[in-house]
Amino acid sequence: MTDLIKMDIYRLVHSKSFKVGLLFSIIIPLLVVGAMGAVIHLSGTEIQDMSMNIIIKMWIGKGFSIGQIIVIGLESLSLLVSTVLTVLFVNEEQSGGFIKNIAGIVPNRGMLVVSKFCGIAVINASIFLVYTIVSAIAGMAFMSSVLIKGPVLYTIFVWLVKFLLYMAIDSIILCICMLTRSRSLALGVSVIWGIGVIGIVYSAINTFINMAIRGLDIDVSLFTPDGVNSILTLKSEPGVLIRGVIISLIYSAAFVLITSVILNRRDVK
Amino acid sequence: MEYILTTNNLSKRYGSVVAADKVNLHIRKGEIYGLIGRNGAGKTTVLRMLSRLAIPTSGSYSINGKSGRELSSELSKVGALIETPGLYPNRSALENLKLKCMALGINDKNYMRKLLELVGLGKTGKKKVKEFSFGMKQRLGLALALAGNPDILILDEPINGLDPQGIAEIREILLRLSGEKNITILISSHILDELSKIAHSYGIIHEGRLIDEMTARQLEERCSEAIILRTDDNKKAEEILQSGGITDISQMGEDCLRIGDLSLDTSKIVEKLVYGGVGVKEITSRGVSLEEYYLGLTGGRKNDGFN
Repeated sequence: MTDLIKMDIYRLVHSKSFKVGLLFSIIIPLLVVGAMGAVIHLSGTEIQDMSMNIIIKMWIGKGFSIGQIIVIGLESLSLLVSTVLTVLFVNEEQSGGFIKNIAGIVPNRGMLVVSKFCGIAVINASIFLVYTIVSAIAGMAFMSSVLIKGPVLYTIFVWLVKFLLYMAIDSIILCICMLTRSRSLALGVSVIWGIGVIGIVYSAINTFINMAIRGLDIDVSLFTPDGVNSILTLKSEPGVLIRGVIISLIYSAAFVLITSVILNRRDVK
Repeated sequence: MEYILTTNNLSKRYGSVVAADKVNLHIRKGEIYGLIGRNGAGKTTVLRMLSRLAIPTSGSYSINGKSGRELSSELSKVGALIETPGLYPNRSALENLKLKCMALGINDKNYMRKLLELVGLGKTGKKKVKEFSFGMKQRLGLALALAGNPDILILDEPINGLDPQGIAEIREILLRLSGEKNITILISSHILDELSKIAHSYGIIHEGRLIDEMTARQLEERCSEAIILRTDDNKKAEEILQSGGITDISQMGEDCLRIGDLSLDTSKIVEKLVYGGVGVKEITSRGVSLEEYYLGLTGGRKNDGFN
């Protein structure tokens, strides 16, 4: 098993797509935080539009902690980078047929799924680290005038739970990739998830369920990893963190298991 | 000689289609076993099951006497090249091989380089696989199958699509592997002429069934010179000749009989058959090629998905 994991991680870090993904992980938060800094700088000068001036000042409030800047940075398309990289990484082994060289030598094909999952952990850890470092440095450089102290431990918890939620979302992508063997379908799904469009689907489901069962006021997104991720901020109650941990563990385990079972029962192409 | 690989009623069904039907192979250690069959006969299906890419519908197989759960200890002893080689097109030959070796727990770069030299890819450097010729890709696939020093090599039509030089090179490599390293090779092909140059044993598969299994020596005997007879009722002709004391007689396809005893007077044979009411279309003494023997067994015709 460890040999398979080493092989997949080696393949990942020596791939062009991973390097491009890291590049985007530098550029995106740099631009986002830089833009925030520019807006804050502008608010300090005379702005003709008084309502805009008020809005900006309300937004700045007391200021921003480094933790808040990091979370804002992470919320700027890091999920999209993660899901797309996951598809490219997982699909590469199947699209060229290399899986034929490996699938026959492992006693249980579930090991292939677990090794991919470990590779996805490396993807997310790398994205999170780069986003965090760049956001923090950019925040200190462009927003130093509004920096305030913030809760360090809670920031770390939120960071970790977001990491787990990303792993859960990517485990769904992993399942779709390995079982459909279709890169285009998986990429499509990864983009939909990555930019948050799936929220529209959840709204539709909520409406349907609430209409069907009167008096029930359910929000299905609270039971999905991307839904919980979207409400998880530094201002969230601890209950949201706990919900995030539970949901991410359930989804990750379930989809890794489903993928492993089907892969073991199906012929390799 | 002991058998290194045997199958026991190995079968595979895809919906209503039976791709392999109770196949029983017997492969000796160190030999080159040629699995012969036309396109769609079931060769690839059998090889995919033996290389664990396809799950048998029923039946089993054993390697070194181990089957079922015990097979897990033998998995690393099998190397396979099934259909087109599975490669990463944007990586070099060495990188592709390195990834397979890493999965096997091998980190010796010298070993990898020697393997590439063995298959004639020692000088490809950083050239990406997508720029390789078809023959080069086949050879890289062979190198990947050889990674980990397997005892058994399963090759599915490895010479398909190669030019004559490429075929000769692969042939030399396989003979060297068998002779020098005592690797057992199970190779499928529909190019009989090429297989006949290297195989020690043959299995003939037709419509999913293994219809014959023989050593190269046995095949030679069966294809040696004999009296070949074509009549308008071979079954009746066989009965007449057997009742007349001719025992070494066998069907060869739909319209031929083979009589092994060359000392028999052909005019007497014709006379017996004509008096018995059987029309004789042709009687001749000649050897039988592997192609004719195969076609005779399968009831096929020349140029019928077969070279």
